[in-house]
Amino acid sequence: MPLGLPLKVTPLAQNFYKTIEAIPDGGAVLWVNDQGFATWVELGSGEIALYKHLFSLAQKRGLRLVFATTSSADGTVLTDRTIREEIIPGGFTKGLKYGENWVQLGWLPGWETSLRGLVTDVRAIARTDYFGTPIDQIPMMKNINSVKDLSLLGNSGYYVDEYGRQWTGLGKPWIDLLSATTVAMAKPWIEKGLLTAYLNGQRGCAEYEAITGYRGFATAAMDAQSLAHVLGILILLVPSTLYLVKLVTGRKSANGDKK
Amino acid sequence: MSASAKTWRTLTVLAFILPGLFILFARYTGIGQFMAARVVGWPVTLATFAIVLGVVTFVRTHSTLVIKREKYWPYNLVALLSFLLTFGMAFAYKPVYDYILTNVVQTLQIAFMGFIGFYNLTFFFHGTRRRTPEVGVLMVVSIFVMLWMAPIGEIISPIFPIVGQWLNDIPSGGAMRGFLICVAVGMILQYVRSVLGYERAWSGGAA
Amino acid sequence: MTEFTVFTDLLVAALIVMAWSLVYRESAAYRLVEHIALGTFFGFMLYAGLNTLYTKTIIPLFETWPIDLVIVTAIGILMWTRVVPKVQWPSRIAIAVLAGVSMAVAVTGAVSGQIIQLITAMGSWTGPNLKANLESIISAVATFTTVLFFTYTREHKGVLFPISRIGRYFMMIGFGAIMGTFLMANVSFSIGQIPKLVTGYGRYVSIVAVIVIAVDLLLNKRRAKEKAQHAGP
Repeated sequence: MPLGLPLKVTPLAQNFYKTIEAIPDGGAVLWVNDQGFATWVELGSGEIALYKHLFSLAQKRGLRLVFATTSSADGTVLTDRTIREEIIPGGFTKGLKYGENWVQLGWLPGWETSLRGLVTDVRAIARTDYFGTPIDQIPMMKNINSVKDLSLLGNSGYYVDEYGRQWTGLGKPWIDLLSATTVAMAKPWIEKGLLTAYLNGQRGCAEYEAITGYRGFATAAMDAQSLAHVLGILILLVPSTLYLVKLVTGRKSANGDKK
Repeated sequence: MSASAKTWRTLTVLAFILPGLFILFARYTGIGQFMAARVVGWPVTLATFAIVLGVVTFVRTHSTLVIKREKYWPYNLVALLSFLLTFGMAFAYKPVYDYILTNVVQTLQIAFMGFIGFYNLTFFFHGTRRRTPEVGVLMVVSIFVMLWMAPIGEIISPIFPIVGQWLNDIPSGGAMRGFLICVAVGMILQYVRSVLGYERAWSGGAA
Repeated sequence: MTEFTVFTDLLVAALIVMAWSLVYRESAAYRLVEHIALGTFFGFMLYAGLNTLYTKTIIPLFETWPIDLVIVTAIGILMWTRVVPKVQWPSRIAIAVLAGVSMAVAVTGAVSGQIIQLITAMGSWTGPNLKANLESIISAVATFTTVLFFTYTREHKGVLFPISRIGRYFMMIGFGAIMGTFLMANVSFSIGQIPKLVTGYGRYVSIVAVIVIAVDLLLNKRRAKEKAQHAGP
């Protein structure tokens, strides 16, 4: 049921957008998509908006994009599908060429070890790309071997700590498209800028869609989320309120009996 | 225990300790970083071998149940046939494989995760029936945070998102930091215990 | 709308309804869809695993024969000895290497990233902004008391008791925040599927499902009544 509730864009989403816009011309971005098929419902539209944003910056300012997945194989399928079904048909790769402007490294199972490898020595972790091409034959990857050659690190998924352990203290900005379940765990990392910016779940995705103009499912789902939250609050409050009323009336009648 | 079993156990323990200690040594001294980076890349290969092993175990388990005609064996047969169809189509005809991935695998993963949404609400109901001050704190904080996350919170009152975000950022942020520090310390202790031989869970209990 | 789209709509809606039938009660439909999910997921994982093994290991192995890749491939093949119980000991070596490397990488990250960085990243107490200073103090107290709550080397009595109690309350605030944010993520799974059940041809599947549940409820009620009558006074 559409309620048409206004969505206020918070500083969290604005910081996320500004961090991406602040990448220098020609800079390289590493994006690790560690979402599963299930989390795609929550974060997928935000990820699609992000890819559109990154690819449009690649067209305007020559950004180089490196995509990888380190936990489950789902992420690599979702990245490939997004690029084939949303980015290429949407004209976001016009003037760009695979291997010169973007690379898909595919699935690098191992999670933390792969995250570590991506920032220390890419060639040790990903000897070929998603399609089997040796990495030394990919023009873009000639100048990208470690975090020194990257301008931005980013990931999407359920977790934040593993990325914090391996990606902080490297002197590069790190952004996260984070599921709402772990938003509470992100605060220790963001306090002094260890984590530069994050989007908080579907709400953050909806705000980011509003900023970039690439509206999708997250925006449409906000009204339903509001109704679900009201239901959740009623379920929390009603039994407790009834219990308190029972407690108070029980005490009153007990006092009345004593008199 | 036989001599060969003792030898294998020793080799297993060395296989656990040596690569890990080499990585730690390279990280903190800077010596051998090139080779250490390659060792860090080993899980990429080993995990793929493990996946194949996992699938073989799956096929073996379900085949045994079908052959022995255990209870619900037709469902095990359905599992095997679904597996063969999906895997076969990946090589035989990719569009059907993509179709299965999008309309069966993804749909069912989301549907099963959807239970959590239903049970979240029943958890709210059951979880707050125990009336203690801690549960009261939990309830109040979760209401404010929910009204911070959902757009309707700003409509009801601008106080809710302000308080909700403050609760998430300051007291909750501090508690989560403490929690993360404890998790990290626990992880380090677990590794030290494993290296010293007090923990063998990673080897399937081969002590 | 082609027949293929109709079939897809019906298939997706049927799978969702069969999966969600567990909320009503466990049934043959749920068991069927559970096993389909299992089989298709393993099919996907095997293809993804073999594809990665081929592109990331076999292609580079046969291109340049790097010594480290030769060693790890040999160790990986040892892992497959687990299939034969009599010779499964070598497989533990492969598992040990995997566990050892993963734990070592996690530990190095835990020391530098999760302990040192998080502690040094705590806010200042003596800055020019009073509000920020107060918030930093509250956050630091929350951190300190939470860490003390998890200290099990001493019994929580004396001065430790009230401090760990305060830590417990701060943790309840943290869990309350997690609980509050949990709902958004978990409800999004249901929100994502509901359009498939109420729009297009999926709504017919939903109508059939509602009728089936209603009939089942009526039949159960009748059976319960008959049972009560047979049981007698």
